[in-house]
Amino acid sequence: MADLDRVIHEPARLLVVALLRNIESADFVFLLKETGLTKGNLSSHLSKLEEAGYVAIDKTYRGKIPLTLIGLTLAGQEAFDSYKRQIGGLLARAGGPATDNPGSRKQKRSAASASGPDQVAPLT
Amino acid sequence: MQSINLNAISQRPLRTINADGIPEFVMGVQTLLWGVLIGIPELVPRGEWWRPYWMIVPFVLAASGLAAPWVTNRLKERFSYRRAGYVELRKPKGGYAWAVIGFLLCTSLVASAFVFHSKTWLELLPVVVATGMAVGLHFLLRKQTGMGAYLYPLLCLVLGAIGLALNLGTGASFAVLYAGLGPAMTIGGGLRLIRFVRSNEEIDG
Repeated sequence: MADLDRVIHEPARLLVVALLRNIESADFVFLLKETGLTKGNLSSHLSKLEEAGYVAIDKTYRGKIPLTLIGLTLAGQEAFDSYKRQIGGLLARAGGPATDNPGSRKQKRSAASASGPDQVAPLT
Repeated sequence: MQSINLNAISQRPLRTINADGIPEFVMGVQTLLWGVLIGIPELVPRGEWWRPYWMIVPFVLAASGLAAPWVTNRLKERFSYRRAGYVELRKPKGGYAWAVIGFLLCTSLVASAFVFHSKTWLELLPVVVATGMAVGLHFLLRKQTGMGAYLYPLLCLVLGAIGLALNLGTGASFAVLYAGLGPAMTIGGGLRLIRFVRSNEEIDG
């Protein structure tokens, strides 16, 4: 438990990192919508992830509209994968429901369909 | 701590790509255009217009293919990005993508040759394309919510089979395939877009 990465272990940051894991980048609006956090709260979590070197934030423009793109760095990907392995192992040892790695395909599919794009997964 | 599925969360951005229905809508309009352009020569008797028509049509078909991503992007900028945000997917590795396309084409051709060995390749082309489109559409839409990932591929296969069963010929079979699939996708995508705009407020990021 002591080895768990505290930067990622925080629920809101874990959600952000998980959302960014399989894509190149996403903008601030996407993360705002998917996480349900306030702008200030999301900014604060992104700053912490950036300080840890887990995300790269690129401020650019789409036409005349400012666009903030956030992408997971290689270190962020490795940290997230390592966290998943650790937490999966911990839960398996505790006899509780594992997060996803040790789960069956059917389990994964039902969980995936349970959380639609508009829902924020329970992380409490 | 409740049970969470991190993989499911990681898959969520992939499902938002067509949440607005815009790619589906644009593809529908494009497919319908192809159907109409290929269908006109099948319905109208040949005349002086035939030669210049077929000199122009290939360029229009190609231009529509090139314009589709641009139109999709413009529509997403207008309706989608301020509501659901922007997601940039990882680019598939070129070699892998071509290997998949090649494999699908070869499999379709070989399977067709075994099943319909009495037909010529030209007659079989529409059903081969319909099969390829069915596989492609299922692959593209499989992460989406709704029945599109199953209904459109099924429609492709049915329309391809109709052309073959009724011996319509290559041109008419393609016209039936495209003119049948196009409106279905246009309506499906359009309805999804209307629902999306109504249920998602613009966010000032």
